[in-house]
Amino acid sequence: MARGMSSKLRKIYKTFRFRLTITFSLAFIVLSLLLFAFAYFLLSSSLQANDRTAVTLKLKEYSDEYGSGSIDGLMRKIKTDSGAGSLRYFMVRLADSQNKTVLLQKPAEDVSYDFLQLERIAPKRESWIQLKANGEDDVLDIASARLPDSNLIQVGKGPEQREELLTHFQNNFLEELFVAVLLSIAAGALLSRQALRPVQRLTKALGPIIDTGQVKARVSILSSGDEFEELGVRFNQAFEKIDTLIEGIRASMDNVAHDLRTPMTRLRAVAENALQWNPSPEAYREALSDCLEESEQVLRMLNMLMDISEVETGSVQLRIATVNISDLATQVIDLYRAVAEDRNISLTSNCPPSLIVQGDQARLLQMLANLVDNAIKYTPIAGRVEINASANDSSVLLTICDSGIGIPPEDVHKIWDRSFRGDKSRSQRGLGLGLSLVKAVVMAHGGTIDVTSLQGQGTQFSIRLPLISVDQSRYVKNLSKL
Amino acid sequence: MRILVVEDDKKIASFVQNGLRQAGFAVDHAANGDEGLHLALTVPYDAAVVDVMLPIRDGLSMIEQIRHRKINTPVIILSAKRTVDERVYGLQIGGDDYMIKPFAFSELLARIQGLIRRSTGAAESTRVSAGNLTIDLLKREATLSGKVIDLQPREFSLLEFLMRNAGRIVSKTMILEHIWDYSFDPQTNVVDVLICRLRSKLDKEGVQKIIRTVRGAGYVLKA
Repeated sequence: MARGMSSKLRKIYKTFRFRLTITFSLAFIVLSLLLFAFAYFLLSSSLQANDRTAVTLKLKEYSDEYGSGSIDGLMRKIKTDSGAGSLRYFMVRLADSQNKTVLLQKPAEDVSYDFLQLERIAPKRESWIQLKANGEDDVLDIASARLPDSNLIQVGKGPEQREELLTHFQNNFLEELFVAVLLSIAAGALLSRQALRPVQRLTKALGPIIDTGQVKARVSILSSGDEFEELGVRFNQAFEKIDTLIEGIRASMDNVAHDLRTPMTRLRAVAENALQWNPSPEAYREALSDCLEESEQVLRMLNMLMDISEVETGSVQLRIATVNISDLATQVIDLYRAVAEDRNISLTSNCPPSLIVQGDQARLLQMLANLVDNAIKYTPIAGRVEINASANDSSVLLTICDSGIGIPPEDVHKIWDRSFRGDKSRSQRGLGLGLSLVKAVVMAHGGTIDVTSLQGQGTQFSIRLPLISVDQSRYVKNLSKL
Repeated sequence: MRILVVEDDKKIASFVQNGLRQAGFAVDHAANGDEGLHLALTVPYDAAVVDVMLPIRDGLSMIEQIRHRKINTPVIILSAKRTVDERVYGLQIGGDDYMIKPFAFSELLARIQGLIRRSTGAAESTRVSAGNLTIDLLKREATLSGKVIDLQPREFSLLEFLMRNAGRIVSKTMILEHIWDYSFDPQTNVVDVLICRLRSKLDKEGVQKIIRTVRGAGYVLKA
């Protein structure tokens, strides 16, 4: 029970909200105390200055009253003042030229001063004498004036009055401070609640998304224009991206399932068919060969899909080395020469021998082969397929153009989709995955790919690859764009 | 000739064993890495077929161990993973060849025979013959009963490859790798096209039906 309690307390203590509140209150208290110290010091010194002015005025008044030796007038004046209570905190002393006390009016307070001491202190002009009380910290501030008959008059005032004021100030302040601390804790709690509300909203919005995997949910955003709005926007962007990726994976899984189902169905049908009847050994042999061919087809498709996802997700590192574009073109032409000759298609390359890029030789070869394969497939007999390369300061431009059937304008943007196959090409062999792989390889190399096509006249694919080395950061950055 | 097969899947193991026995090899089978290692260290084999994913001790560690003990039996690695990195790693630690599952048995057999031929160091002949068809590897020339057949370089390479493996099925994958050094799947079947051209040239010279298609497996040149 006690442990549960303390762990609960520790949990509360660990919350950012609690810490924010405490920090806010502490800062408030420290600032208040500093302010108090400053005000106290200011008040006390201004009160002292006030007292001294009062003492000086009184001294002037009594000196004038005394005039040239009228001690009676002075005594009368003191008596009236004292009666009126205005001498409550004052001391008045008249001494002869030998500094022997003639007349002494003590302050009404019960603090005892040793006034005899004053007979031993020679007064100086314009300077204050400070008489300490017996056994206490109080100090009497005394001003002196020499009268015309060379007698001495002294007026002093104790600190009692201003101490009363200061004590009052102190007590009031402490009371207010107590209230202020309570208020500051409340304000701190409120403030941190306000400040953390967007964070809590984010946490709340994230909860169900993480629990259920529903990446469709979004954080509600207040257009406050502050950092929290930006954080919210960022979170939503991240979800957007995850959502697109998941959609992409889902879509490609659907395509894989669909593409694999077809040969699997044929495989099953052939096997089942062969088992149902009592065919001749030749028919069995035929059926088994069909099965082999279909399973080969399944495998090819699986490999192609794995290739694409490997390049796209970067699960396989590119083996970066220097790659000569011209060699690449020669290799691809060598691979497709027989196929092109069979269809009487002129397959040529025009690449300067010195063009070098940084990349994965095997993947780039695969990319170029896929494009040439594609071009030959869609080019009618006696057509032409060309590989051209040129360079500017920072990149290599590689183009593959054909005199083929072209792509209808409404389909141009769809060719990169994994599932897309132009209607006319449905009868053609191929998996419709080649171009997705081409794009993935180009992107992984930090390049770009464009396609322009005129129906009935031909298609041109333009690939731009950076001449400089493909560093890891760009690799990662471009992968994230896929 | 004795061959060690280390494979934990019973069906694949018996399929490989049966095939190899039919091809005239003696075969020992181990179902896990430790058993395989023990056999490889005690029996002198002419070749070994080792699966990567094995119980107790994986295939790569087994190969590492036998190479560590200076046993140079040629090893073909079988793996379900087809990443380039793994292939490279497998060959680095001492594998001699690498095949990805699913594989065609004919290809496995051809690769085993190739490895044994290389490891026994049989001198490469500069002339290869099949029937009255002869190729001269120095002149890169094919002759039929002394008469030169006009072949393009790739057609010659293909004929050479088929003749060297006369009587054995060679798969399209093997041809692609051997002739063009290309390890992907070209969508148009460039191998079919080249075979077709070679056939028609040989037919024209009167060598009829010497290259046979084995559906779903590859091609074979009649010995």
